[in-house]
Amino acid sequence: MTRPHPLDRAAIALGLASIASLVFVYEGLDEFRFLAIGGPSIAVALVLGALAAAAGLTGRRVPALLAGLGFAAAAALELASTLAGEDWLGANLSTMSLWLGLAVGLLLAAAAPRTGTDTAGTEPPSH
Amino acid sequence: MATASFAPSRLSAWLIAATRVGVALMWIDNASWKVPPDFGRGESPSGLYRWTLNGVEHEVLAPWARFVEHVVVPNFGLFGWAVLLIEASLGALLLIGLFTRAFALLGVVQSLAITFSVLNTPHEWFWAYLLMILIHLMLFATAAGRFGGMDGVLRPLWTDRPGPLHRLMKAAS
Repeated sequence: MTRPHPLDRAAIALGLASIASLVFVYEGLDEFRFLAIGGPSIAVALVLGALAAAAGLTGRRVPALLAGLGFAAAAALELASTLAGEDWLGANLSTMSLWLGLAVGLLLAAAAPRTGTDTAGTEPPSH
Repeated sequence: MATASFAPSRLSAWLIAATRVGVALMWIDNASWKVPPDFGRGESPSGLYRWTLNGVEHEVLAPWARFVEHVVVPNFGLFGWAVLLIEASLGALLLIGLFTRAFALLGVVQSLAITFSVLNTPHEWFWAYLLMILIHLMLFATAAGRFGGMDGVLRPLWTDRPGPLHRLMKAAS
C-alpha cells in the first residue's frame, strides 16, 4: 500500500483534530475545557472533520477544499454570532481560533502543488 | 559556538510538536474572553478591558503604563480587535505549524506586552509570564512547525521555487 502524500496526511491529521475536538463537548473538563463545542458546532466538527480525513485518505483535493471553506465559514459565523451577542453555533471565540487554523491548513493542503518529495518533518532548522 | 545541524530523534520531534500544540491551545483557550465589540468596557470593567487597566493601576514599566493610559485605553476598540486577531491567529497557526518561526516571535512580542501589563497585578505568578516568553523562544529555536506541522510539508515546495514571496515564507517557517 502506497504511503499517502504529505499533503494528504496533513488533511487526515487536520480532520482527525477536528473530530478530536469533540472531547470539549464534556463540560466536566472545567478549566481544561479549552474551547466550547455544543449544539450545531458538534455537526461542524464531525462532518467537516470526516470530510477532511476522507479527502486525505482518498487523495482528493476538492473535499479538502470544501472542508477548508466550511471551517472558514464556520469561523466567520462564530465571530458574527459573538458580535450579535448570540450563540448560534454553541461555540465560542476559542472554537473560532481552532476552526481558523483548520481552515488555513486544509485550504493549503488542497491548493499546494503536489510533488513526489516526502520530506515532511525531517528538515533541521539550520537555515 | 559551532553546532551540528539540529536533527532530533523521532521521540524529540514528537515532543517538539506536542509542545507547539500545547502552546497553541493556550492561545486558543484565551481567545474566548476577548469578546467584541466592547471587549469588557462598561460601567463595571471586565475581561480584556479590566486586564488592560491593570497595566496602568499596577505599573510594571513607566513608559509602557503611559502608553497604555494615553494610547491604548482611548483607542480600546481598535486595540481589542488587534489583540483578538493576534491571539486567535497565534492559536490557529501554531496549532497547524504554519509560519511557526514568525508566529513564535509574534508570541514573544505578545507575551512581553502581557508581561508589562500584568506582572505586578496582585496574585499573578511572574514565572508564568517569563515561561510564556521562553517557550516561544524555544519554538523559534527548534523551528517547531517542521515537526508534525505544515511547515515541514510545505518548506520543500518553497525551497524549490524562486522569488521573494517563497523566500519570505521559507524564512517564516
